[in-house]
Amino acid sequence: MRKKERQALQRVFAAPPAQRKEVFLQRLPMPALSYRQFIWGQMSYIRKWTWIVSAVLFSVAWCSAVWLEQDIVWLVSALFPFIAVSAVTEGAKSDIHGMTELEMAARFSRKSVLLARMTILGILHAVLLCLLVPLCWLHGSVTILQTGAYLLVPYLLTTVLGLHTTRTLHGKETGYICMAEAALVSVANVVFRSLFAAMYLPLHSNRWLLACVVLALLTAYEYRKQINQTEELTWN
Amino acid sequence: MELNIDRLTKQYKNKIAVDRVSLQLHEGVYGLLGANGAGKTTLMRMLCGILKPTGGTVTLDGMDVSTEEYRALLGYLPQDFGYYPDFTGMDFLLYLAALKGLPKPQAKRRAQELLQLVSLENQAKHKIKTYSGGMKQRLGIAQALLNRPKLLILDEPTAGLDPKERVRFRNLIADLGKESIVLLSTHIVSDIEHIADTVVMMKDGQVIYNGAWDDSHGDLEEFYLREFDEEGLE
Repeated sequence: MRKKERQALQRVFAAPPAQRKEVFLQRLPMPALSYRQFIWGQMSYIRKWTWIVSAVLFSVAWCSAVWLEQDIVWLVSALFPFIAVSAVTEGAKSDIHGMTELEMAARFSRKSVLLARMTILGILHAVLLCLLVPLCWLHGSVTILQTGAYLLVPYLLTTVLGLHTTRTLHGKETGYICMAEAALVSVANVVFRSLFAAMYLPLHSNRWLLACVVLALLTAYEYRKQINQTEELTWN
Repeated sequence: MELNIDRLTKQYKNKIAVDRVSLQLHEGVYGLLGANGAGKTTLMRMLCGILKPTGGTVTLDGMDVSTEEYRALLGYLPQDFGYYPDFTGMDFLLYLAALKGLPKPQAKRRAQELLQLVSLENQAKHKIKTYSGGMKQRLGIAQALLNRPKLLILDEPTAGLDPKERVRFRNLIADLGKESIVLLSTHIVSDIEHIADTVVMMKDGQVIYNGAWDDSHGDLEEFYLREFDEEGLE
């Protein structure tokens, strides 16, 4: 049919109104979201603050280590708890803002949301750690293993405390309590270094590594409990 | 489509919130009526897979309540719900559409359609914190319909709606009941009278009445008040 004839027909013929549109749409096979697309989509729902904190910490560490050639392991170690708390509060967002029931009733339930976000943030923090440990070691006076331990211990301690808090408390104040815990760990880290400088000698490296392992196991335990908790609403 | 609830029970330490409830629901509108503490919300939460039952089973055409396939057919409006700060109405619907498995282009079309249906199309880009109670409730109704659910569970859906909005809501539910199973709980007896094909009454965790309600049964409100030992208004 030629274009002019087609256009003339369109002008003359009025299409009838749609009938039984809903029934038709319900029977039409629609492509559903895959798990990979779902996880990728969750990245846009992670708060900007979480990305900004990581970017700021990395920038500060980079500038101090590369341009100012300073020993930054103690600075980064004091700031790392705030990276940890950004991940912990991300996981507790549903409870804090009253979205739990809506998320639990969805196809990709709250458990899937939590796992997706923890995976994304876990990868981000692992990459950050892999970048920061060599940067901190560059002009430091300790070994690379010690550097890793001095960064991980406050991070894991904040994570364990935060996960326990979000699992046992509910409501908007949970976020503030987790932030207070991060601040406490950060300050305690600085004070501990001043008061117990001997603990940072190489002969105590094994104790620091043991602390890392214990805190890592506690973190895994708390995460498992939190994931189990997403499967059932806590009776209020 | 059949929702089969078989001896469903939820027991806490010293309280039985839902006591061996058995129901078979097909397409249509079911009104769940009961006093505060009767077990309506607990029952609904178990039907949504949010609360694990102490005993009994829930299946939708053979799919267990704990499966993803069941949740893919479910639409739920809780009695109370929140929202992430800084979400607009459209953001809220798109977020939940993603959780319900709708791809982005489809989610956007469906969200626009539903915002128009609940008369929120002009407030779509406004933050939810600026919405009135009735607007939030309408947004909640919209999110429950995102995935064209075959099982729609609405807990106090007309709370906060003005009379005009309530009439629109009743017409919407009546339409949905033709193709889906709709279970709605309310304290407002007139909502049940106007919308529900079947009335299910709960008291102390048990179902005390389950069936159609017509004039031959008398006045529903009087029956409700008698059953729950309330004094009627003269």
